Amino acid sequence: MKPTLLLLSFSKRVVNKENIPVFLIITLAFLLRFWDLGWNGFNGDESIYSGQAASLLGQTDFLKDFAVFRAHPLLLQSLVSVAFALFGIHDTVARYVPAIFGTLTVFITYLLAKELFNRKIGLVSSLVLALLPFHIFFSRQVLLDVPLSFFVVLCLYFITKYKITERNIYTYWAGVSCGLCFISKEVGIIMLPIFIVYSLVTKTLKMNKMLIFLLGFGFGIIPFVIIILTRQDAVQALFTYATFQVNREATMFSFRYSNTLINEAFGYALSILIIVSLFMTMFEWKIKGNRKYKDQIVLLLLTLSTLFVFYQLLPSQGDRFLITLMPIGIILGCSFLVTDFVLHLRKRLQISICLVLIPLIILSTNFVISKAFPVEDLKISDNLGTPWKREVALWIKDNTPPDANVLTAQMTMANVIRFYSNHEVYTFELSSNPSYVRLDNPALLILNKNVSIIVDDLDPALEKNSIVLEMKKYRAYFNPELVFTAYKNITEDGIDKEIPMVGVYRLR
Amino acid sequence: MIFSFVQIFTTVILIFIISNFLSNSIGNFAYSLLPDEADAVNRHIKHFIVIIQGRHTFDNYFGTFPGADGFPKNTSVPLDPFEPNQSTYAKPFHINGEVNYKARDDPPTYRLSYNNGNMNGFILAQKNNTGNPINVMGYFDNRDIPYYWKFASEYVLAQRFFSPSMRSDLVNSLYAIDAIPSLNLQDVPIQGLEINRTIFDSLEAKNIPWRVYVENLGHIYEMNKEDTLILKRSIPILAIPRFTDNQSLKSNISDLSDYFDDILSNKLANVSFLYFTGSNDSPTTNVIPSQELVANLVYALMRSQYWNSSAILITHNEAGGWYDHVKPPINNNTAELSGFRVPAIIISPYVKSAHFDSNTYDIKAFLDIIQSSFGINNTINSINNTNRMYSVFDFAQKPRQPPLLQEIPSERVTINPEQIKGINIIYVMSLSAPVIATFCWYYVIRKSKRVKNVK
Repeated sequence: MKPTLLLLSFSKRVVNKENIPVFLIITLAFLLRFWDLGWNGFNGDESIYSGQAASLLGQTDFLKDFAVFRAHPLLLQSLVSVAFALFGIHDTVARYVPAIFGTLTVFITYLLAKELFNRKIGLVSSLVLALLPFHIFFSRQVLLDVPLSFFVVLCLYFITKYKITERNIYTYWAGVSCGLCFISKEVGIIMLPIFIVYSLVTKTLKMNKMLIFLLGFGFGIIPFVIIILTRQDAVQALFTYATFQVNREATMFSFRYSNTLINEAFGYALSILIIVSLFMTMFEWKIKGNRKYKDQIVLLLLTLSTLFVFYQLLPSQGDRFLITLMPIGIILGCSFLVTDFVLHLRKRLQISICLVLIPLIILSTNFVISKAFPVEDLKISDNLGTPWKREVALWIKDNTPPDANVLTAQMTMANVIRFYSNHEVYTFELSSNPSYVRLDNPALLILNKNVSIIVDDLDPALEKNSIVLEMKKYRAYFNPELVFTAYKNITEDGIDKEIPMVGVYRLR
Repeated sequence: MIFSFVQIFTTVILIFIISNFLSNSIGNFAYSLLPDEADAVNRHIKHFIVIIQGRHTFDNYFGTFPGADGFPKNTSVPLDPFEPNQSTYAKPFHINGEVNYKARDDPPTYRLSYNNGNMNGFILAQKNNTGNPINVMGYFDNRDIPYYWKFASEYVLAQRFFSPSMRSDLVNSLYAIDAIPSLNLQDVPIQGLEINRTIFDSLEAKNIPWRVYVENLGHIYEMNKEDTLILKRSIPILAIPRFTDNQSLKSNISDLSDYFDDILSNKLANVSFLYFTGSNDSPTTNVIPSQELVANLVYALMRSQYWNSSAILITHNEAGGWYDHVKPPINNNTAELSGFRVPAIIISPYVKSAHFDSNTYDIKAFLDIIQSSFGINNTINSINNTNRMYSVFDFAQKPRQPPLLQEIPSERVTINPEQIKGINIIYVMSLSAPVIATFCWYYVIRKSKRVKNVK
């Protein structure tokens, strides 16, 4: 077929009345994810990944602080480095890349839900995902989990397509997507066993299919393989970090993830809907013998539960891991709409349910609830960057000599300062992470005049933090001069207040 | 002129009395002034710092220090020396700072540890204590207290430095400020102690600036009086109302954080005593951070203008229940046994380099140097009258530069940008590999289909 005809056929399929809602949803997702991306400075992880991206461009100022080879593969960092090369090294530019992936995740969620169930589920699921605060917030951050989430859903899409069409090209692309999951973040390898188990359960596992999948997987991980085969330092870093990661304390007995999923990621309504959907589906299987959507539910449930258990057992913590579960949980939660019980309702009622469902899901998340009522331990706010950290880093950049070294307590602050100011920063937060130089006695840095600036957290919430207290001790000992304070503006009882959050001190 | 017998006799008696008086005066004068030594100290040392840490023994800190009078070969202590068929012994072992252990350290424990000079009751004395009693045989070394070992290897390590007594910690800490306590004193009474004389009074009388630095002083002042009584046993100046009620004298008592500030602001007093609360090296989990703090305090002085005129003593108040193999002598001042050996490092640009001093001392020897150099007469002699601490100094040498204590390695690995060139391109271009493979696949399949159709 000639290219022109191919293009025309494609446009005819895409540009039609039926797809207007999808376009609107994607546009909404895009706006929510791209609007004012630079409102907040980087958090610690964003600084590291963006710093690596700048290092990949050969920027020596970043190379000294942000080693290229650390714990993870470099797909996101490479894409961000391309963005830096095109638009300059800036935090907003870095965030373009995850925002694009976040928006595309909404689209691919629509496609997946449409293939699994029907167009209605696709529209509802994608709209919910587009509007859920947890996904929006993390899609706006330079985090590896954002492209990972996209490729996980893409992988499921191709697995579903193969199941429906039995065409090997889709198995191949499922393998490619799985490979891309891996080079987004190495934990994405979990999609490989998910594919195998799903194929076993649905009795579709064949040797040739497995080989095609692995061929696709091989293509997907080509860059990682090339780097490992050609770079000794990359291999060294891989083993060092693997040892470090494996020895970290696991959260397997903690309810942290389940709490965050229910309270913030999915929200209360969606969490209930997931259970309701499963019950209704099983009810129909058992009582009515209706197994029409059995394989679909199995795929979603298998992926959701495997990912959850995997993260629970993983010796590493991070609320952002949960965005990978969100598209799957949303589709599963909306799947009750295809049960006979709902389908036998009047059309108007079905539409009403959909219309009520979406705001109900959004409004039942702790993020929205916290706007009206006090909510303890809001994880989203823990994971945002903080404007004052960027402010402090930029002040240091503009007001101190380039060789003025900085001492600060927490690694997060240190990484943010390093990214924005390119100053040498020492931190004494204890970590077994091999990236960080362990400081046994920070006072010697001061006494030997290796540092001239101290950055201290003044946040009242960190009053009892042990390393912040230790920094206060050094401030008490050496009595440096306060030269800059970064504030947080709040309104309490109708009165505008400024809370000091970070202080910059010059040593005598 | 012929003198009468009475005149001659009276003259002789008078001459006898006057000469005795003169000889005694000269003797005393010689004792307190020690013309050459004290003069030498006075000319070179203007700032004395006494750092009193918690409760450890010499063997506990320096038992394995190369060349020191540490653990004898085959040291072992019975679990119960009174057991007739005792067969279980414990040897010294390395105890690291991660083990949370605090030994019992009261007078009965010390006496039992001493066990009439047999020095084998240390483990038995800890029998009813929380934790494994064998822990008292533990020792720290360069891995745990690298700064102490560094100072000991550069300056003077006193190997026969004893805690004043086996009495209460209050008695020992009062002794350390040149007070004359009742030996039966156990606790600080709620109304405080009536102590008439301390080294601070002597310094005050001579207008010699002095300062006592106490860690977390502000917090202590905010505590209830009852809650501070235990702390005051180790920081006795806070237990003497004469000092705490008198604004002028109280102004000499500062928080430990002021020590660094005083150094930087050129306000360091001639005599400073440093006491610790939170950074006291007991229990064992505090050993590593507390020696770091002490090192920083010493190092701050070393990096300042005061170094060339300073002498520092780092020592411990008492043994804390830990094992030490050296039998304590009799303390002439108390007429009782002194306490066990405690670590003592003397630091100064004028002390002998890497020197082990085996004279018998207690803290009075250092106080003696301080007071003598400022012309203050002592009323209490050192533990052993004959041993004076002047032998650790060598004023003939040039003042030594302090060591450089580095925190960070001097060399950093720098990466050549050329070395990482192209990595991002590999990743980005490789995204197209599956797409290219797909087109190849389609091409192959289409071609094979066309061939089939043709056939």
